[in-house]
Amino acid sequence: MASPKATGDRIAARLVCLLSLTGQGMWSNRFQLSLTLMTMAVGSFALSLTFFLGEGARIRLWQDMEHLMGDWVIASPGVRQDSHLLETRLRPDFTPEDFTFVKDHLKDVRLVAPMFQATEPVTFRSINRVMAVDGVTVELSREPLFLPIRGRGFSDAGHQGLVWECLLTKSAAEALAVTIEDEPTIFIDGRPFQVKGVTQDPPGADDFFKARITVPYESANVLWLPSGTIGDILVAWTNLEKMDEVVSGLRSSLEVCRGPDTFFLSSSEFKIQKSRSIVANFMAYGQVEALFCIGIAFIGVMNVMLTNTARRSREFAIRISMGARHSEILAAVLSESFLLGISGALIGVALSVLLAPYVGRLLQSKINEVNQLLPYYGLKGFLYPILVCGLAGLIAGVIPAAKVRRLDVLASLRNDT
Amino acid sequence: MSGGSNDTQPFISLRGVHKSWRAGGTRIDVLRHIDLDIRAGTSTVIVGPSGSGKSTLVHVLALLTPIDSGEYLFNGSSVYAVNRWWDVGIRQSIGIVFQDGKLIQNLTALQNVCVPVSHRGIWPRQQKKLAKRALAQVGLLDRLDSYPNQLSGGELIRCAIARALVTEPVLILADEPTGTLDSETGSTISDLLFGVVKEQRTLVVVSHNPLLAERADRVVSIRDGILDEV
Repeated sequence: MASPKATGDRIAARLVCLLSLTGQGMWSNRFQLSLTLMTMAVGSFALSLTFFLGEGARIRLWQDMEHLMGDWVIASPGVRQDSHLLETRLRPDFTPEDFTFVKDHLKDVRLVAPMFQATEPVTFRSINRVMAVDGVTVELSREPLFLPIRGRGFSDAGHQGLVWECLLTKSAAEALAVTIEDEPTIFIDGRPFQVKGVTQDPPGADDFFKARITVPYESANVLWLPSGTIGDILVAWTNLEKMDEVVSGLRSSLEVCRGPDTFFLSSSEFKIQKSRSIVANFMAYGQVEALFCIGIAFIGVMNVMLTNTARRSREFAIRISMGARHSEILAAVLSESFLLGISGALIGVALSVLLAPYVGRLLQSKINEVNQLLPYYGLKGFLYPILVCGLAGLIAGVIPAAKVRRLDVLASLRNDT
Repeated sequence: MSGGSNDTQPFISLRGVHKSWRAGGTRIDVLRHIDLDIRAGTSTVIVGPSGSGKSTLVHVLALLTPIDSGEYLFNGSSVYAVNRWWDVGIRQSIGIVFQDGKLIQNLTALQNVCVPVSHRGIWPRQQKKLAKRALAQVGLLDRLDSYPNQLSGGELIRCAIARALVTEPVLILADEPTGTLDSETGSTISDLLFGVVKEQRTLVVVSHNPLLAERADRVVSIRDGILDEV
């Protein structure tokens, strides 16, 4: 009986010979194989590039998002700033009980905090919160009192909206004789403000100011709350990847304590979903295209392997007659097609690594939401193409290998071509 | 595997071997219940007209095709156990020389001779060593890197003989080794077969060449698939 060392040595030698046989097969058909290799490389390139750029875009969007809003979301009472709903603006907001419930039911969060609003309701002559109507229609030399500041959670577009849209109190509308249906524009400090609606006079405001108040559109919700109520609930978490869980938990707990459709998760969630959707679409399209290319390469590999095995049938028959096992020939065919897939994948990945920054630059102009599309060389971008192409190559070799398995040795030996 | 030194037991024994081919819907009986004993270390030449079944007999002996019925004993053991007619272990102890050499065209002479040992778990360096030794035995050391299309007919057969020798088989089968050669080259091949090849081996040759038949220990004739002692 052979010693384990001798057995191991024989196995290693067999493997070397298998690789040699595979190499001979590939070398003997190198030109055709090179072309097939290129098709596989294109598929691998596309797949790898999709992951590199997709991941890069995803990370970039997260960074933008984080920069824009931080890792938090605001749950607001379910009142949209719609002129038809302004009459209901005084509805109750989050109660302390709601807040406690939400806090108790949210996991993986760093902070659940109430945002108390209107701690100084408009009950006196506060120039920080009101705008004198009598200065509206003329150019004022002073800054408008309600020019909103740029803050967390407000996008550029939102900021623009806040600046250029406003509400008037009922008394102010009457004082100005404004017809809301016409969506009139008033001028404050030379800036046009489109009047989006009329809201009730603030509770507690005196008669002098009631008629003088112009409210930035988005701020109405904040200003009209009773003193000390919880306007919003601020939820923050530590890990961006947990966002789905946190938002989902927040939504379900709010649905329990306030009922469905009675709250509004801040527009940042929509923004995130939109961004995710863009990246997901990009990834999906990229992967479909890549898999399509790999599918073509798969057919190419199978075709070239079928041709190759048919061409080498005499050689295989000679080898079998000289003592080769069918299984050895079969393994050589399979390893040839597998190596073809892997080699194509490696070439594709290498090209992708080299070209991804340039392709990213070309693509970033096509994706509005992404300012800069830099590739992220994650493990997926390397592993997936190699796995997919290797598997495609291996499967493409199965039918040619099956043909070799059924090789008629004598018939092939008689074939002198 | 032993060369079968037992004098009382034949090294190769065919008992009632029958083999037929199907050509279209017709069955052609190529070997008809053949009984053949070949003793170890002997040389046997099988003669017969074209289409008589000589090559099929060699293919049966080389385990390249199964038989329909009968028994094939190799060194006392039946090689036709159920589903094992292709037994690689036995086939690896047989060296075959085909009529036109049947070398692999895209391999050099050295690589061609390496083929049988390459499937036996031997490291490439050792393979080359064995192949060079075999090529030296047939006088082809100067053509190591030549491709088959660069070799003459005689050189092709010598290379094929080297390929058959490289594994040091106990049985050498040669199918018309001089069939396509001129008489002078045929004589050289005959010398090789009955000189280097024959040493301590059992040799079975299928041939029309009377030179080979003259030098064999035994000549059997086959006609219409039936074997006769000459």
